[in-house]
Amino acid sequence: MTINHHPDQATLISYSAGSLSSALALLVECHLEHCSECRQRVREAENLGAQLLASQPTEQVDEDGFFARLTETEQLPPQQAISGRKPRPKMLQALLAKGEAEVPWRWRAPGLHSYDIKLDDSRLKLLRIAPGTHIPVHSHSQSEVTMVLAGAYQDELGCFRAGDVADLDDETAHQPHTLGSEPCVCLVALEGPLRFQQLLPRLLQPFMGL
Amino acid sequence: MSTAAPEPAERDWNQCLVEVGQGGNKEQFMAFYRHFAPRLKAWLIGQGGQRDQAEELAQEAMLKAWRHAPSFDPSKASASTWLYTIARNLLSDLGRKQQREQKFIARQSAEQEAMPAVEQAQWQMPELDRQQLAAALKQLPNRQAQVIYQCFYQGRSHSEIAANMGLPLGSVKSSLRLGFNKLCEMVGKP
Ligand SMILES: [Zn+2]
Repeated sequence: MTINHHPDQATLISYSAGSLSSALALLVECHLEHCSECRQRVREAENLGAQLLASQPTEQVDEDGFFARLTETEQLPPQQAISGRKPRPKMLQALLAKGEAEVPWRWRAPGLHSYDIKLDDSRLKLLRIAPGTHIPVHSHSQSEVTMVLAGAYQDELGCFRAGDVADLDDETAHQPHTLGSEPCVCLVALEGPLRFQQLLPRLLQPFMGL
Repeated sequence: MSTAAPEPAERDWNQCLVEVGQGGNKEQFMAFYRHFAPRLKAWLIGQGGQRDQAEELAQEAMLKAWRHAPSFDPSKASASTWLYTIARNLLSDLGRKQQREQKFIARQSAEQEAMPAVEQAQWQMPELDRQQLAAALKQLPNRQAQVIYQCFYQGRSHSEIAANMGLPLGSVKSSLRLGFNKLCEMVGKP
Protein backbone atom coordinates (compact mmCIF):
# COMPACT_ATOMS: atom_id res chain seq x y z
CA MET A 1 0.00 0.00 0.00
CA THR A 2 1.52 3.30 -1.06
CA ILE A 3 0.52 6.10 1.24
CA ASN A 4 0.54 9.69 0.05
CA HIS A 5 -1.44 11.48 2.74
CA HIS A 6 -0.69 11.15 6.45
CA PRO A 7 -2.31 12.47 9.61
CA ASP A 8 -1.06 15.90 10.65
CA GLN A 9 1.98 15.64 12.89
CA ALA A 10 -0.05 17.34 15.63
CA THR A 11 -2.57 14.49 15.43
CA LEU A 12 0.18 11.91 15.84
CA ILE A 13 1.63 13.84 18.79
CA SER A 14 -1.77 13.92 20.49
CA TYR A 15 -2.25 10.23 19.76
CA SER A 16 1.03 9.58 21.58
CA ALA A 17 -0.12 11.73 24.48
CA GLY A 18 -3.38 9.75 24.71
CA SER A 19 -5.34 12.95 24.20
CA LEU A 20 -7.22 12.31 20.96
CA SER A 21 -10.94 11.64 20.96
CA SER A 22 -11.70 7.90 20.86
CA ALA A 23 -12.91 8.11 17.26
CA LEU A 24 -9.75 9.78 16.05
CA ALA A 25 -7.51 7.43 18.05
CA LEU A 26 -9.20 4.44 16.38
CA LEU A 27 -8.74 6.00 12.96
CA VAL A 28 -5.08 6.78 13.60
CA GLU A 29 -4.49 3.18 14.68
CA CYS A 30 -5.93 1.96 11.38
CA HIS A 31 -3.49 4.20 9.53
CA LEU A 32 -0.53 3.15 11.70
CA GLU A 33 -1.07 -0.46 10.67
CA HIS A 34 -0.17 0.56 7.13
CA CYS A 35 2.39 3.28 7.73
CA SER A 36 5.82 2.72 9.24
CA GLU A 37 6.68 6.39 8.79
CA CYS A 38 3.89 7.46 11.14
CA ARG A 39 4.68 4.61 13.55
CA GLN A 40 8.17 6.09 13.83
CA ARG A 41 6.79 9.56 14.52
CA VAL A 42 4.47 8.17 17.17
CA ARG A 43 7.38 6.39 18.82
CA GLU A 44 9.36 9.65 18.94
CA ALA A 45 6.46 11.46 20.54
CA GLU A 46 6.01 8.61 23.03
CA ASN A 47 9.64 8.98 23.99
CA LEU A 48 9.05 12.64 24.69
CA GLY A 49 5.84 11.81 26.58
CA ALA A 50 7.79 9.36 28.73
CA GLN A 51 10.35 12.04 29.52
CA LEU A 52 7.63 14.52 30.37
CA LEU A 53 6.06 11.93 32.65
CA ALA A 54 9.41 11.23 34.27
CA SER A 55 9.95 14.94 34.89
CA GLN A 56 6.88 15.11 37.15
CA PRO A 57 7.27 16.12 40.75
CA THR A 58 6.81 12.93 42.75
CA GLU A 59 3.76 11.85 44.76
CA GLN A 60 3.93 9.55 47.70
CA VAL A 61 2.94 5.97 46.88
CA ASP A 62 2.04 2.91 48.92
CA GLU A 63 4.95 0.47 48.80
CA ASP A 64 3.76 -2.23 51.19
CA GLY A 65 0.32 -2.46 49.63
CA PHE A 66 1.84 -2.74 46.19
CA PHE A 67 4.37 -5.35 47.26
CA ALA A 68 1.54 -7.47 48.65
CA ARG A 69 -0.25 -7.35 45.30
CA LEU A 70 2.99 -8.09 43.47
CA THR A 71 3.55 -11.30 45.41
CA GLU A 72 0.10 -12.50 44.33
CA THR A 73 0.65 -11.75 40.66
CA GLU A 74 2.17 -14.24 38.25
CA GLN A 75 4.29 -13.13 35.34
CA LEU A 76 3.19 -14.03 31.85
CA PRO A 77 5.32 -15.91 29.32
CA PRO A 78 7.37 -13.72 26.92
CA GLN A 79 5.17 -14.49 23.92
CA GLN A 80 2.30 -12.58 25.55
CA ALA A 81 3.32 -9.10 24.58
CA ILE A 82 1.07 -6.16 25.38
CA SER A 83 -1.24 -5.04 22.63
CA GLY A 84 -1.19 -1.26 22.58
CA ARG A 85 -4.27 -1.02 20.40
CA LYS A 86 -7.63 0.22 21.58
CA PRO A 87 -10.44 -2.34 21.55
CA ARG A 88 -12.29 -1.87 18.26
CA PRO A 89 -16.07 -1.49 18.03
CA LYS A 90 -17.65 -4.60 16.51
CA MET A 91 -18.82 -2.96 13.31
CA LEU A 92 -15.40 -1.50 12.62
CA GLN A 93 -13.85 -4.91 13.17
CA ALA A 94 -16.32 -6.50 10.78
CA LEU A 95 -15.72 -3.85 8.13
CA LEU A 96 -11.94 -4.19 8.34
CA ALA A 97 -11.97 -7.96 8.36
CA LYS A 98 -14.69 -8.75 5.86
CA GLY A 99 -15.44 -5.64 3.87
CA GLU A 100 -18.33 -3.28 3.37
CA ALA A 101 -20.98 -5.93 2.76
CA GLU A 102 -20.91 -6.57 6.52
CA VAL A 103 -22.19 -3.12 7.39
CA PRO A 104 -25.95 -2.44 7.73
CA TRP A 105 -25.64 0.78 5.77
CA ARG A 106 -28.24 3.52 6.12
CA TRP A 107 -29.20 5.53 3.10
CA ARG A 108 -28.43 9.25 3.48
CA ALA A 109 -28.64 10.69 0.00
CA PRO A 110 -28.26 9.41 -3.54
CA GLY A 111 -24.95 7.58 -3.68
CA LEU A 112 -24.26 8.11 -0.01
CA HIS A 113 -24.66 5.56 2.78
CA SER A 114 -23.33 5.74 6.28
CA TYR A 115 -23.24 3.97 9.59
CA ASP A 116 -22.59 5.79 12.86
CA ILE A 117 -20.60 4.37 15.73
CA LYS A 118 -21.21 6.42 18.84
CA LEU A 119 -18.31 6.53 21.24
CA ASP A 120 -18.12 8.04 24.69
CA ASP A 121 -16.74 11.36 23.52
CA SER A 122 -17.05 11.42 19.73
CA ARG A 123 -18.50 9.73 16.67
CA LEU A 124 -16.85 7.42 14.19
CA LYS A 125 -18.74 7.45 10.92
CA LEU A 126 -18.40 4.76 8.30
CA LEU A 127 -19.13 6.15 4.84
CA ARG A 128 -19.89 4.39 1.59
CA ILE A 129 -19.89 6.63 -1.43
CA ALA A 130 -21.05 5.14 -4.70
CA PRO A 131 -18.89 5.52 -7.80
CA GLY A 132 -19.47 8.84 -9.51
CA THR A 133 -20.84 10.64 -6.46
CA HIS A 134 -20.19 14.29 -5.81
CA ILE A 135 -20.35 15.73 -2.27
CA PRO A 136 -21.21 19.45 -2.12
CA VAL A 137 -18.78 22.05 -0.81
CA HIS A 138 -18.66 22.03 2.93
CA SER A 139 -16.36 22.92 5.76
CA HIS A 140 -16.41 21.71 9.32
CA SER A 141 -17.35 23.37 12.56
CA GLN A 142 -14.67 21.41 14.32
CA SER A 143 -12.23 18.82 13.14
CA GLU A 144 -12.89 16.08 10.66
CA VAL A 145 -10.36 13.44 9.82
CA THR A 146 -11.04 10.90 7.09
CA MET A 147 -9.26 7.69 6.21
CA VAL A 148 -9.93 5.81 3.00
CA LEU A 149 -10.33 2.05 3.45
CA ALA A 150 -11.28 1.13 -0.11
CA GLY A 151 -11.77 2.89 -3.42
CA ALA A 152 -10.62 6.48 -3.87
CA TYR A 153 -11.80 10.06 -3.93
CA GLN A 154 -10.42 13.35 -5.06
CA ASP A 155 -10.82 16.90 -3.81
CA GLU A 156 -8.89 20.18 -3.88
CA LEU A 157 -6.10 18.61 -1.83
CA GLY A 158 -5.45 15.67 -4.11
CA CYS A 159 -6.31 12.07 -4.63
CA PHE A 160 -6.95 9.85 -1.62
CA ARG A 161 -6.65 6.08 -1.84
CA ALA A 162 -6.75 3.19 0.65
CA GLY A 163 -4.59 4.01 3.68
CA ASP A 164 -4.53 7.75 3.00
CA VAL A 165 -5.71 10.17 5.67
CA ALA A 166 -7.18 13.64 5.13
CA ASP A 167 -6.62 15.63 8.29
CA LEU A 168 -8.60 18.85 7.88
CA ASP A 169 -9.17 21.66 10.30
CA ASP A 170 -12.09 24.01 10.59
CA GLU A 171 -10.78 26.43 8.00
CA THR A 172 -10.72 24.03 5.11
CA ALA A 173 -13.66 23.79 2.74
CA HIS A 174 -13.68 20.93 0.29
CA GLN A 175 -15.72 19.26 -2.38
CA PRO A 176 -14.82 15.63 -2.79
CA HIS A 177 -15.89 13.25 -5.55
CA THR A 178 -15.19 9.57 -5.93
CA LEU A 179 -12.76 8.10 -8.44
CA GLY A 180 -12.93 4.84 -10.31
CA SER A 181 -15.63 2.22 -10.50
CA GLU A 182 -15.49 0.94 -6.93
CA PRO A 183 -17.42 2.49 -4.05
CA CYS A 184 -15.24 4.60 -1.80
CA VAL A 185 -15.40 3.39 1.80
CA CYS A 186 -14.07 5.73 4.47
CA LEU A 187 -13.77 6.16 8.19
CA VAL A 188 -14.56 9.64 9.43
CA ALA A 189 -13.74 10.80 12.95
CA LEU A 190 -16.04 13.66 13.87
CA GLU A 191 -16.07 16.05 16.74
CA GLY A 192 -18.53 18.65 15.44
CA PRO A 193 -21.47 18.68 13.01
CA LEU A 194 -20.88 19.39 9.33
CA ARG A 195 -21.51 22.93 8.23
CA PHE A 196 -22.68 23.29 4.67
CA GLN A 197 -21.76 26.52 2.98
CA GLN A 198 -24.74 26.80 0.72
CA LEU A 199 -28.25 26.86 2.09
CA LEU A 200 -29.52 24.68 -0.68
CA PRO A 201 -26.43 22.96 -1.91
CA ARG A 202 -26.47 21.13 -5.18
CA LEU A 203 -26.82 18.51 -2.62
CA LEU A 204 -25.49 15.10 -3.33
CA GLN A 205 -26.42 15.07 -6.98
CA PRO A 206 -24.72 12.05 -8.31
CA PHE A 207 -23.04 12.92 -11.53
CA MET A 208 -22.62 10.01 -13.77
CA GLY A 209 -19.87 9.07 -16.15
CA LEU A 210 -16.74 10.58 -14.62
CA MET B 1 16.52 16.52 44.61
CA SER B 2 17.80 16.45 48.15
CA THR B 3 16.79 12.85 48.65
CA ALA B 4 18.59 9.57 48.59
CA ALA B 5 21.16 7.87 46.47
CA PRO B 6 21.79 8.68 42.81
CA GLU B 7 19.23 7.21 40.46
CA PRO B 8 20.30 4.73 37.82
CA ALA B 9 20.40 6.10 34.29
CA GLU B 10 17.78 5.12 31.73
CA ARG B 11 19.96 2.35 30.33
CA ASP B 12 20.01 0.71 33.73
CA TRP B 13 16.24 0.76 33.99
CA ASN B 14 16.13 -1.12 30.71
CA GLN B 15 18.58 -3.64 32.12
CA CYS B 16 16.61 -3.80 35.37
CA LEU B 17 13.38 -4.61 33.53
CA VAL B 18 15.05 -7.20 31.31
CA GLU B 19 16.37 -8.94 34.42
CA VAL B 20 12.98 -8.72 36.12
CA GLY B 21 11.56 -10.36 33.01
CA GLN B 22 14.10 -13.16 33.08
CA GLY B 23 14.39 -13.85 36.78
CA GLY B 24 11.17 -12.53 38.30
CA ASN B 25 13.04 -10.78 41.09
CA LYS B 26 10.45 -8.85 43.11
CA GLU B 27 12.96 -6.74 45.04
CA GLN B 28 14.42 -5.54 41.79
CA PHE B 29 10.99 -4.69 40.48
CA MET B 30 10.32 -2.71 43.66
CA ALA B 31 13.31 -0.50 42.80
CA PHE B 32 11.66 0.16 39.45
CA TYR B 33 8.39 0.87 41.27
CA ARG B 34 9.98 3.26 43.74
CA HIS B 35 11.44 5.26 40.91
CA PHE B 36 8.53 5.37 38.47
CA ALA B 37 5.33 4.98 40.52
CA PRO B 38 5.60 8.35 42.32
CA ARG B 39 5.96 10.14 38.97
CA LEU B 40 3.28 8.07 37.33
CA LYS B 41 0.88 8.91 40.14
CA ALA B 42 1.66 12.62 39.83
CA TRP B 43 1.05 12.44 36.08
CA LEU B 44 -2.27 10.64 36.59
CA ILE B 45 -3.40 13.28 39.07
CA GLY B 46 -2.59 15.91 36.45
CA GLN B 47 -4.79 13.98 34.00
CA GLY B 48 -7.73 14.49 36.32
CA GLY B 49 -7.61 11.55 38.69
CA GLN B 50 -8.33 11.90 42.39
CA ARG B 51 -5.41 10.85 44.57
CA ASP B 52 -6.81 7.41 45.41
CA GLN B 53 -7.82 6.71 41.80
CA ALA B 54 -4.38 7.79 40.64
CA GLU B 55 -2.77 5.49 43.17
CA GLU B 56 -4.95 2.59 42.04
CA LEU B 57 -4.26 3.23 38.37
CA ALA B 58 -0.52 3.62 38.96
CA GLN B 59 -0.53 0.28 40.78
CA GLU B 60 -2.46 -1.33 37.95
CA ALA B 61 0.00 -0.01 35.38
CA MET B 62 2.88 -1.29 37.50
CA LEU B 63 1.29 -4.73 37.91
CA LYS B 64 0.78 -4.88 34.18
CA ALA B 65 4.45 -4.00 33.68
CA TRP B 66 5.37 -6.78 36.10
CA ARG B 67 3.16 -9.36 34.38
CA HIS B 68 4.45 -8.47 30.95
CA ALA B 69 8.08 -7.83 31.87
CA PRO B 70 9.14 -11.12 30.19
CA SER B 71 8.09 -9.68 26.82
CA PHE B 72 9.80 -6.30 27.38
CA ASP B 73 12.24 -5.66 24.54
CA PRO B 74 14.57 -2.68 25.03
CA SER B 75 15.41 -2.61 21.33
CA LYS B 76 11.80 -1.58 20.63
CA ALA B 77 11.22 0.92 23.43
CA SER B 78 13.03 2.10 26.52
CA ALA B 79 11.69 1.05 29.91
CA SER B 80 10.24 4.49 30.56
CA THR B 81 8.54 4.69 27.16
CA TRP B 82 7.16 1.18 27.57
CA LEU B 83 5.72 2.04 30.97
CA TYR B 84 4.37 5.32 29.64
CA THR B 85 2.43 3.57 26.88
CA ILE B 86 1.01 1.06 29.37
CA ALA B 87 -0.23 3.88 31.62
CA ARG B 88 -1.54 5.93 28.71
CA ASN B 89 -3.54 2.99 27.37
CA LEU B 90 -5.00 2.18 30.77
CA LEU B 91 -6.01 5.80 31.14
CA SER B 92 -7.71 5.97 27.78
CA ASP B 93 -9.49 2.65 28.42
CA LEU B 94 -11.10 4.25 31.46
CA GLY B 95 -13.35 6.13 29.11
CA ARG B 96 -12.61 9.67 28.22
CA LYS B 97 -15.99 11.15 28.92
CA GLN B 98 -16.31 10.12 32.52
CA GLN B 99 -12.71 10.97 33.09
CA ARG B 100 -13.15 14.37 31.49
CA GLU B 101 -16.14 15.28 33.61
CA GLN B 102 -14.12 14.56 36.70
CA LYS B 103 -11.25 16.49 35.24
CA PHE B 104 -13.31 19.56 34.66
CA ILE B 105 -14.71 19.51 38.16
CA ALA B 106 -11.28 19.05 39.64
CA ARG B 107 -9.91 21.73 37.41
CA GLN B 108 -12.28 24.62 37.87
CA SER B 109 -10.41 26.03 40.83
CA ALA B 110 -7.01 25.36 39.34
CA GLU B 111 -7.94 26.80 35.95
CA GLN B 112 -6.29 30.16 36.43
CA GLU B 113 -2.84 28.79 37.01
CA ALA B 114 -3.18 26.00 34.48
CA MET B 115 0.01 26.55 32.59
CA PRO B 116 2.27 28.65 34.80
CA ALA B 117 2.49 25.37 36.67
CA VAL B 118 5.01 24.33 34.07
CA GLU B 119 7.21 27.19 35.05
CA GLN B 120 6.58 27.00 38.75
CA ALA B 121 6.71 23.24 39.05
CA GLN B 122 9.15 21.74 41.45
CA TRP B 123 11.04 19.69 38.94
CA GLN B 124 12.66 16.80 40.65
CA MET B 125 14.83 15.37 37.99
CA PRO B 126 18.01 13.76 39.11
CA GLU B 127 18.95 12.80 35.57
CA LEU B 128 20.53 15.13 33.13
CA ASP B 129 17.96 14.74 30.39
CA ARG B 130 15.19 15.70 32.80
CA GLN B 131 16.92 18.91 33.74
CA GLN B 132 17.40 19.60 30.07
CA LEU B 133 13.74 18.95 29.44
CA ALA B 134 12.58 21.33 32.16
CA ALA B 135 14.91 24.01 30.85
CA ALA B 136 13.72 23.35 27.30
CA LEU B 137 10.05 23.69 28.27
CA LYS B 138 10.79 27.04 29.88
CA GLN B 139 12.45 28.25 26.71
CA LEU B 140 9.42 27.62 24.54
CA PRO B 141 7.21 30.56 23.62
CA ASN B 142 4.29 30.65 26.03
CA ARG B 143 1.63 29.48 23.58
CA GLN B 144 3.65 26.46 22.50
CA ALA B 145 4.44 25.50 26.07
CA GLN B 146 0.74 25.84 27.00
CA VAL B 147 -0.36 23.62 24.15
CA ILE B 148 2.27 20.96 24.93
CA TYR B 149 1.29 21.11 28.57
CA GLN B 150 -2.43 20.70 27.94
CA CYS B 151 -1.83 17.91 25.44
CA PHE B 152 0.65 15.80 27.39
CA TYR B 153 -0.20 16.61 30.99
CA GLN B 154 -3.93 17.23 30.86
CA GLY B 155 -4.99 14.92 28.06
CA ARG B 156 -6.90 17.60 26.18
CA SER B 157 -7.86 17.17 22.53
CA HIS B 158 -7.08 19.82 19.92
CA SER B 159 -10.67 21.11 20.04
CA GLU B 160 -10.61 21.34 23.81
CA ILE B 161 -7.33 23.24 23.78
CA ALA B 162 -8.70 25.53 21.06
CA ALA B 163 -11.81 26.28 23.14
CA ASN B 164 -9.78 26.69 26.30
CA MET B 165 -7.31 29.12 24.79
CA GLY B 166 -9.65 30.85 22.37
CA LEU B 167 -7.55 29.87 19.37
CA PRO B 168 -8.49 28.47 15.96
CA LEU B 169 -7.89 24.76 15.63
CA GLY B 170 -5.18 25.37 13.03
CA SER B 171 -3.14 27.47 15.47
CA VAL B 172 -3.37 24.79 18.13
CA LYS B 173 -2.05 22.23 15.70
CA SER B 174 0.79 24.42 14.45
CA SER B 175 1.79 25.41 18.00
CA LEU B 176 1.85 21.76 18.98
CA ARG B 177 4.05 20.86 16.02
CA LEU B 178 6.43 23.76 16.58
CA GLY B 179 6.68 23.23 20.34
CA PHE B 180 7.17 19.51 19.96
CA ASN B 181 9.88 19.82 17.32
CA LYS B 182 11.74 22.41 19.35
CA LEU B 183 11.58 20.28 22.48
CA CYS B 184 12.93 17.28 20.58
CA GLU B 185 15.76 19.36 19.18
CA MET B 186 16.64 20.74 22.57
CA VAL B 187 16.64 17.48 24.48
CA GLY B 188 17.87 15.37 21.60
CA LYS B 189 15.98 12.39 20.32
CA PRO B 190 16.30 9.66 22.89
ZN1 LIG C 1 1.41 7.75 7.77
